[in-house]
Amino acid sequence: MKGRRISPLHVIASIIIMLILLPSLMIVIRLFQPVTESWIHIKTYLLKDYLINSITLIFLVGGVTCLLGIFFAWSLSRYKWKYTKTLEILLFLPMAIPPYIGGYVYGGIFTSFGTLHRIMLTLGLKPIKIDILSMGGAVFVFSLFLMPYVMLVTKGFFNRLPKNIEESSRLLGKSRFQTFYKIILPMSRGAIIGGVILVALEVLNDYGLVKYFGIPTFSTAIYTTWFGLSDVDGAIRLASSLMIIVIIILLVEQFFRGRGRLSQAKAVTDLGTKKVAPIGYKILFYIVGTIYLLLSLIIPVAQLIHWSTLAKDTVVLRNLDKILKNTLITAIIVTIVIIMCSIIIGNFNRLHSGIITKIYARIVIVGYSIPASIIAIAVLVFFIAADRSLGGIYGFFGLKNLFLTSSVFMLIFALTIRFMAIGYNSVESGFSKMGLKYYEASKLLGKGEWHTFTKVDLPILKPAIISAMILTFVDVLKELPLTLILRPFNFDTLATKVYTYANDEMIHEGSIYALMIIGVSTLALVFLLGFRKEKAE
Amino acid sequence: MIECKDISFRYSNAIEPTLNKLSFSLHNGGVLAVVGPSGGGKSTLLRVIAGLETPYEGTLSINNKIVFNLNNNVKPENRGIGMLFQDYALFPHMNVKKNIEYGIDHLPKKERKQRLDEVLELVALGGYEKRYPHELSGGQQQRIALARALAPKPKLLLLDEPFSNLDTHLLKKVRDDLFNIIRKTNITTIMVTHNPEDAKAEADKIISIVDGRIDREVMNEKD
Amino acid sequence: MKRTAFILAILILISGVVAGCAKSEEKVVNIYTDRHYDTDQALYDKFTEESGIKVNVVKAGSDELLERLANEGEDTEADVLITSDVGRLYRAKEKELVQSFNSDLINEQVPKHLRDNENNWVALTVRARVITYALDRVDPSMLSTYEALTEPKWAGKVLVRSSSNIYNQSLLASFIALNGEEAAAEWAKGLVANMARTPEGNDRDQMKAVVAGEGDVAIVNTYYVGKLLNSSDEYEVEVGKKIGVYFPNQETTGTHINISGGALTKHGKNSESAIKLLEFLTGEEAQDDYANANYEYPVNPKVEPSDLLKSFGDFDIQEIDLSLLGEYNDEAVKIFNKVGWQ
Repeated sequence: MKGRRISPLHVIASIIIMLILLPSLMIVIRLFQPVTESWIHIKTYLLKDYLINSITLIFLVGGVTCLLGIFFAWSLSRYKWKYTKTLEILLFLPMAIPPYIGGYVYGGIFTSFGTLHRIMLTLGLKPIKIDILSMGGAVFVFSLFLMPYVMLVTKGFFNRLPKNIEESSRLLGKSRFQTFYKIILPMSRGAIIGGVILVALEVLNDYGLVKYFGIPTFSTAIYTTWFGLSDVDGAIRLASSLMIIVIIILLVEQFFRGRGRLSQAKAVTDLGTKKVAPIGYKILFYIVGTIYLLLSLIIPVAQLIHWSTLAKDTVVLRNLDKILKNTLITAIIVTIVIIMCSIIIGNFNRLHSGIITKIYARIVIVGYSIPASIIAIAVLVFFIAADRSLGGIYGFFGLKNLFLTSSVFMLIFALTIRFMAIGYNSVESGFSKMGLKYYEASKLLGKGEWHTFTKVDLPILKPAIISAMILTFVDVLKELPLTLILRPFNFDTLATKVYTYANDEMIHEGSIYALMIIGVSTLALVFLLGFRKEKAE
Repeated sequence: MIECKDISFRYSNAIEPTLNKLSFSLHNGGVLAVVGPSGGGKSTLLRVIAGLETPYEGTLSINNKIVFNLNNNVKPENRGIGMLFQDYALFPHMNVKKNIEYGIDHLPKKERKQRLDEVLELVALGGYEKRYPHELSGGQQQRIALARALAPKPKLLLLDEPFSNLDTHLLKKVRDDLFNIIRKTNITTIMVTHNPEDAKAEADKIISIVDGRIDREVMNEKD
Repeated sequence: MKRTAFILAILILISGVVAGCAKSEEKVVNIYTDRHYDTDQALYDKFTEESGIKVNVVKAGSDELLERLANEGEDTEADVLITSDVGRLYRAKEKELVQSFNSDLINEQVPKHLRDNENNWVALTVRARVITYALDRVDPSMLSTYEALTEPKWAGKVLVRSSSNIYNQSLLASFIALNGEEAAAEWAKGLVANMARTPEGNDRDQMKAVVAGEGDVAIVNTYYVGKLLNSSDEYEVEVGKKIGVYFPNQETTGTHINISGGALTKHGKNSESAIKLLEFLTGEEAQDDYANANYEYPVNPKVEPSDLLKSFGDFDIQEIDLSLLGEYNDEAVKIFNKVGWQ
């Protein structure tokens, strides 16, 4: 089914890709402006720190999440536990807490006269000082809340590994541990790297946490340069340096995934049952698991609830309904747009294989790797230009001049670029699992494109689409940097509210909003996990 | 050399036992064929013998050493059993040499190489050391898997439906080749197969398992 | 068919959301502000009540606001720019984002030195950047000037927040204005050498750290002391009670002050309403609220500072043109980077 003529599908897909690319192109063009003095200043005094900090964060957080993630993924995949289903959901839940909220919580706990300090005072102990607002602290917080990314990807892979590979290894004299180390790990390399890359991208994109913890990284630098030194071009240059790091990361991923072809034989009926873990392992799992859940779920939520009660007298929950409306509508619209675009592009890629499709797929992914601050600059500039050129049309309709820029449309556009990859990934894997056979069968039975698509393809794709919707929705809900910059007048979301309160030293008041974010994300995640379980059984 | 007495096994979410007080024995160097309808428990029996599943009653001993009873459960890696899986389970990220040497890497280098050459010659695939599993045909993969299983000189060899992945016109040749190799080593072998022809051709003893119990047990005159 | 309907529905939804932004006829004034105190909203509400003019507020960092104004140009919606620091007002003026205005009422209500000399901005509140000290460990007679904090006896004892904060930048800018770049750089370097820890946290965190024993003195804005003492959190109140407030440089150049101020945007569409708002905010009622609800010094000479502020005592301020705080801001940032004040 390789289309030779340009179908409407082709056109639409191409338009979408163009729109995704356009802002980035604008950035590249501005790169060719002459270097400013403030850039030289940055290069001399600051660039090295940004580089070192960003890279250190990536490596350390990557390492910790890798270890933890693999441990949990393996435990859940291979061993039988009491309440396995509950455990699986619980270990995923920290993903509902955005790292910046985690940062505010732990910042508040460990700071002077923070929660820990007070508890110790009450107990009559001399307070110990833990310097949380440091690189170590940031690694700690990031790792706690990003671990589920690695676990998610790795567990899926472990589940699909044929058990008899491990069994062969056991029968050839290797212990469980040796088997894991010599066989499972090397085979899982691609998946593990994939998970760690997700974590790395999340770390690079973060602004709220590193700003609060006072760690100069590229994301904080881009902001400061853009606004503090009033140097948009300097910011763009910083952004490009960051992009180079991101590209290197992506290339590394390609490299690791490419080698070691894992041609897995057709899935043989797996006769193995899940075993109960040996006692030593069991104890380790329960200890590590409990500590992890304590740190990543129980303590943060408890602390936020505590703070909320403290603030309930002072905080004026004004406009809460408006804020909720803004947050939810934005998230819903972005999700719908992303799903539609993903389906269009995914379908196009499925029906026409070749260079074009590979390029399109790559471009979609790129949007996710571009840090939010860059997308923000690019989109703002792009839209203002668009507004200016469409001025005439606006007058005709009686709309005000900055129609596009002052509307939520710009934010939606930027968020779509940013999160397209998430929706696309899910939808795309749905397409590839489905393959062409149903499509072909339907065509051979005399049905046209549209009919096939709506009556055959879409229903089969439903699980993938639902996964995509939930993941995208949650991510938009939690998003901070883009929303901060691009929102229109009087437009607050739950996330921006939390940020504002935290940075104005009013974290107590902000906790209420934080809890709402966590609440909605948790609901979405639980639903998604429950839904996936159903499909799997 | 293998004694199996009253072995019963049940999967955790099942009500009926998959193996129900199974007993049989096999002499040293013999070939036992296990036949029977699908789902009857044949492959499960192999997994139990290998130590990959744990029965809830019975005794299992190999060469007069107890490998399983109520107080003992020897781990699979210590039972000295070789197994050929239905889909061969070659390690995809290792080449032939590494696959085969995997089970004998405690041997000093010289002996390892020697053994490697030995088994490769045995399966008539000398010179294939550097190939990767995905570069081999189905039949070649099977022979490498056999070589790998035989390299550590196991006491017992288990074959799980060794012929179901093959095209019919190759069947007879592959079967003959396979058992030529096996007979050369004189290793005690238990083979699970759904094809009674294979059983009649190669086995010394045939047992048929239906619903977890031994339905028939015959000594076989090979054709 | 279904798909088209779906798309139509989306478009309708979007336009519905956006419709809220379409031109309306009621009187409004649109503010871009970086002040983030809940108490402000109460003031705006009062203004709406009294004048019938609706107030729309966009809160963001002042840098972001300036960038946005610059990009919006003539098409901007904003009428008033309010910042919590004078440096940004200066920058707005430099970038021609604001316009001068003339209001006799404002001139009456705000002393000359707290207004731009070309009437481009006007102060709404004043805050001083002072030295707070641990009451149980430090004798105020040991304190004198900002410069003295760089002396060896304060090694490892000084707490101050990050250089990325505008209050520190303006402080350093004032030193550049008074003593020149070199002396200012010397001071910054000396202070870094005496820091108890790498800067982290905000002004209130510095004071908490003082009481916790991490350092002996902290450089903070006066209203934060007020916030601690009036916090709903009893621990914060305790901290507030354990520190003392000292106004440095009384014998020399005076204590550094900064202002929170407002300006009219150049291309705002509601300048009349904007001026009315500024007149209101510098009027007695609003000034009283600023003083009592947020512990800032009022600019209106008819309004007395709150009792709390009075309890800190009187002090002499730096006698410099506030615009200089903005003029030297870039240098200040660069000096901070050079001396490694994080």
